[in-house]
Amino acid sequence: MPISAAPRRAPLLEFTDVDTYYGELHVLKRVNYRVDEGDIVCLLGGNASGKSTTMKTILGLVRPRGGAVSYAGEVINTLSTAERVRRGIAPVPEARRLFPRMTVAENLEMGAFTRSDRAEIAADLDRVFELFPRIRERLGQIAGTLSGGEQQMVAMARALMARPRLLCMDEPSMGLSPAFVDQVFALIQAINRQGTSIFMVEQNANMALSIANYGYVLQTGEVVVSGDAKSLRDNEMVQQAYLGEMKRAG
Amino acid sequence: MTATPLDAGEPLAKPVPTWRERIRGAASRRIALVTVAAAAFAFPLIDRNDGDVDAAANALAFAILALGLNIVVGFAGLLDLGYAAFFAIGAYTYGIFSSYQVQPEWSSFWEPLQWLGLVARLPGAGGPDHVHFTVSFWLMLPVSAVVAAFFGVLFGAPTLRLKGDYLAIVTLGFGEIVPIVARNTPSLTNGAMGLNGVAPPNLFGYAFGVKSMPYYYLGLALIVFLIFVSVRLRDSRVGRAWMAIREDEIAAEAMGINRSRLKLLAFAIGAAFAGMTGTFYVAKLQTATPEMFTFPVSVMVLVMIVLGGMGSVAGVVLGALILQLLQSWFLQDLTQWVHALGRVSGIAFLEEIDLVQSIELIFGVILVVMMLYRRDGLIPAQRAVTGLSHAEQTAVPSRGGIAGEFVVTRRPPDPAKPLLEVRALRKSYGGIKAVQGVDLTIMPGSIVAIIGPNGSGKTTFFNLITGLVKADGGTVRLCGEDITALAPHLIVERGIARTFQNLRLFANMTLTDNVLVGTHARTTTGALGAVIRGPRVRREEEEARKRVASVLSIFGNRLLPRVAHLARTLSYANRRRLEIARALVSEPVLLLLDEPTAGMNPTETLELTDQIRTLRERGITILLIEHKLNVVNEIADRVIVLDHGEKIAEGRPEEVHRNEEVLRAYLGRTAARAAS
Repeated sequence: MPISAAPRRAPLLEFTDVDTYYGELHVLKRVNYRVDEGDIVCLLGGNASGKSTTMKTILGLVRPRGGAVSYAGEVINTLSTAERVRRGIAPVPEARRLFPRMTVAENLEMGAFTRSDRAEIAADLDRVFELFPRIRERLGQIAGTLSGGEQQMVAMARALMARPRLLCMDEPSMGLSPAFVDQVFALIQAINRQGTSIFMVEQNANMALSIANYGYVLQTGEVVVSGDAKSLRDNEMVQQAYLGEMKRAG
Repeated sequence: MTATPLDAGEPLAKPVPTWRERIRGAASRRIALVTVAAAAFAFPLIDRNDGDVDAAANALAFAILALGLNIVVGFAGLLDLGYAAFFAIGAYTYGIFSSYQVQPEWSSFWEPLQWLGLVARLPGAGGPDHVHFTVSFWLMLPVSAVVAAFFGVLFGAPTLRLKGDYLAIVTLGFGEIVPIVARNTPSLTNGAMGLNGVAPPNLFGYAFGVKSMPYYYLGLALIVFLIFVSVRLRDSRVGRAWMAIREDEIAAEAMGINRSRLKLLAFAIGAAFAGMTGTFYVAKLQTATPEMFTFPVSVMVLVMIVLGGMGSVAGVVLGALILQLLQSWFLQDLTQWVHALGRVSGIAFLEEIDLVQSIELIFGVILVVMMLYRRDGLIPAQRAVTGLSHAEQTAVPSRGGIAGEFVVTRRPPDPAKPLLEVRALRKSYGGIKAVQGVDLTIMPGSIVAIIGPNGSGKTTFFNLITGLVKADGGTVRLCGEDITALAPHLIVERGIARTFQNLRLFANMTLTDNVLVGTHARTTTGALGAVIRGPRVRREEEEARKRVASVLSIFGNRLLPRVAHLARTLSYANRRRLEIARALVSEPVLLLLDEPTAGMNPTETLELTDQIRTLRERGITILLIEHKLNVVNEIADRVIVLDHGEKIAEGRPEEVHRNEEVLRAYLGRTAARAAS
């Protein structure tokens, strides 16, 4: 149930009563989400609640058994992952998943795989270097030898090379040192300011809600609370369950 | 917008099984088994055509080969392209000792053997008398198995460090060498002409002769026995260790598995199966030529496994039977039908088709179709994910640590002496100094945290302690014993267990089996014990399972409802919990946790923090790598900070947070603010 009704713009991504299964296991149960153009939307939830499945459903790695996933006003349930990327959905996957034996430059090139406009790709590369000056220094390095924080930046940069309208980030702060976590969240905001909408799964709920404008809370495959970021942060249940303000039982 | 219609009445709770599903349970499996056994037994009595029975007996031989190769490829994950070599070794071992091929001159040395019935004296025509080997088939059956197993170890030993493609190429070489040696050693094998006059078996005076029926029943008896052996091995400590190696060699080692030994064991047992088959096959044909054991045979057996389902005992038997009978029954019949069709329709082309000749093409098509539509084979080795009720899926975080029955059974170490002492530990990769001269002393019962920027050498430090990476210099001592140079599985036996930053679970094994692999270092069942399954083995398995259940209960209903699921279906945080359970069940004195709370939200993190504290209270010393400072602050007695492989600070958490160098290298804006 939404706990606040903020005025919203045109939907870029929308889930309507989506059901997904793994074999017999019912994972997402009639889930509804909406990401508007220009939003940062974050998805909170305990583990095994269906967050990663949500990501896979957006990208077409898991097909819903019921309901509709629509993007830019079109139902995309049956589209292949490649086609979704071509239309502007770019993933920054959990645990980065760079191509570890390729150089940083080659990883970035792979990000632009679906595009052919050489001049614009070069322009985007410059834009990426502006956001991530550190990457320019590392272009020739084998991606697998980068530190975790640098890998996260390359993963974000690679996704941006697809010139996405929607960036899907799965746990961008996982395994990063505190200093890097700050940087990554600052970069997410910078990317968003340049016009890319962001859908983000993040365990660091405090950080995520501090930069998001809307949020959903998933529990055992169902959306139990949704609302603008501030109202979620003030919600007692969210504080208890996700922000670590749980009282000790005994 | 067009939404796909929903299955409206779908209940969230697990549906009650229908009568159909219930019947599909254990009882139906027993009925199926009895039916198959009865049909197999009655077949030669019903079909009196000797050619059909002969084809069936050959199919059984190939089914045994498939069972043997399944142990190497399906269970242990070692791709062997030269498996026919062992088939050949078994065949020639029996062939040479039961034919007229080798005839040394007679001397008094042979007399006791003659008395035992192993040799006979051939009167020489004019010259000296000669020896004729007449070793019984029944004796040679186990002997061939042992000889083939010996060669399995011999061929396996140089390939131990290899995996995947490299291993496949080396085994391909061995597979080529053996028939070439057979062809070029005519004194022993009669070369390309082949051994002749191999003696058929003889049972209590009943000569098997040239009729197919006795061989069919012999093959049936062998396959029943070897299915039994396969199943017993699969469901044992040994089988789980093989699958662990298949899934992740490094994690298997870190759980206490001696991978060299277990790989050789897989090679040896797989070869033994082939050796027995070779003996059976040659006794049936009464001849052996090098052409019977060439590369296409190895490939054919591999195809049978892929078709049936890699790692699935019933599957590989079915796959072998289908492909063999396809070749010897159906294709011949089908060819004749096509010819008849050609005659009737007057299309000359059809009359010339010989489907048996294009058997390779047909195998190829079958394989491609399988890969497209049923990758796990006809009878897959793994079960699908079962449904869970809403209550089983729901997990509510709670504080207060571990309430469950889990207890630490190991004797606690001497509290006055250091548990772990690390001195001047060093490791470089090329020019990069990953760890340079780190010292660390951990007293029993403490919790020590390592923090530091990404890439500062924390994980390398763990790899050095657990023996996964060899140190360039320095020492690691556990309870005073130098363990620096020990193999990883020996370090686990001494009481250090770990989890991995990037999660190294055995993805295609169930949760229960994953944790059972963790008990490897504390159990002893070997291959023979697993097959016989005596009372001691049974008790050990039962205790291991009890212990697994108690360790899994630490995490409440997060893992317990899913014990029969495959590890790869778990969510990220639950994988972390499963890794901790797997490490704990090896009864460590020192537990190394590499970012245990990564992928958990703040509330779940608190829950795990409390659980770690409980582990310490119950006697386990803990060294952890962690980025979340609230975790470190709350549970660590001491913190060490690594940067560029060097220890830049050490002390109580609050001391470390004030250190200027730490602030600059690591903590950054938010954390520094939180700490001040």
